[in-house]
Amino acid sequence: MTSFYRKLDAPRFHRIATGEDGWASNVMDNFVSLWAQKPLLKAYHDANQSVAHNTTTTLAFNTIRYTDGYGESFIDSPDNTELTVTRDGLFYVCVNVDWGDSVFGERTVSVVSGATTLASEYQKPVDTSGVGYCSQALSAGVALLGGSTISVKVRQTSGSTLDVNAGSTTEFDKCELGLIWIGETNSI
Amino acid sequence: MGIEYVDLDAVHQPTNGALVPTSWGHGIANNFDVLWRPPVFVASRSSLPHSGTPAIDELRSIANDEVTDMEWGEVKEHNGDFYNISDTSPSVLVVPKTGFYAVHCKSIFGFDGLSNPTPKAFVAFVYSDDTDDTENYLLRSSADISVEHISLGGICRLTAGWNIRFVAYQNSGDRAHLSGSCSIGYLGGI
Repeated sequence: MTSFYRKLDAPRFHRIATGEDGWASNVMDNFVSLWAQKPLLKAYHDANQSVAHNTTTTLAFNTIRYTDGYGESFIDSPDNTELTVTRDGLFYVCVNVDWGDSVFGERTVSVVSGATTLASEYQKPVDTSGVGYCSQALSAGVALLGGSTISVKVRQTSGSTLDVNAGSTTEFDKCELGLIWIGETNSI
Repeated sequence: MGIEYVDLDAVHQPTNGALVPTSWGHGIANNFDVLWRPPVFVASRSSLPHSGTPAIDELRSIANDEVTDMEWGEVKEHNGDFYNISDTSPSVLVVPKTGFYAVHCKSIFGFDGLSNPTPKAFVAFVYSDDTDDTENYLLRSSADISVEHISLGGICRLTAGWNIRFVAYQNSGDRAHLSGSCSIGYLGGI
């Protein structure tokens, strides 16, 4: 694995005219980081997860769909509910949640970092046809510090326990989390 | 399919002590070209009247109880050959470059005055290999909706040459107006 990018320091490294190539090596590392091995991770959970009525529940993601570059990793095994960010920067995060059927109540999905809610999405099904299916998709750009964690929390008020349906080998099928590094930011 | 990534190490090994060849410099310029102007597609479809009960316009609506490809009559931004620009209302796009993409779609349904003003509805981003026998969905749906807006977003890895499209569905009992916008942007990755 190639090292994550190193900022170019021309006066220090640039020796191209004499055939010394520390600077050139850095150039390649930068392209690898920005393009060839973009830091990212996508994961899903391969079993239904039960969510009690009116109880905020943290979802687990136990299967990596793909990761690349210096991808983030789940480190709090065995429950796989926290994603640890390994570097500072602006990230694009997306979550898919597919609920078991119920025409009652509300559904909320949130992305949180510690006690801070980074983004959330809300639905309130209306009882007219009696179908009651509900899938939610949430995406946001978030600035994160290396070492911070991300979790996905859900809540439903159907009056009874509902499942968050399992993901599968088919991408975006029901329960999935994605995170990709966009670049550095000075705002954090 | 646009500019391809150049593996600079394949052109010149930085550790061998040799002077850097011109082709290596060209590779740098090539790679910056893609990073500065990545493949993107941003478009919208016609706006919806927001007052009264508008007449159902065939060009701005979708049929009842049919999964329908969304056509994009107003392409705002386009890099990377997602479609043939002679097509004034593209619906099926082609992935120009293998990698990771951010995908978004905002849709606004018009159900006022229809047989069932709170129908089931969804929008989805669909991508499939060139044989169309494998499909994946990024789906955002609601049970019977009292609000008219549905948005979705996500990231996914797409392979050059795959077909991609946004689809919509509603079962109001009639044709229903549908406006919206979409964006697809390349994030990197090979």
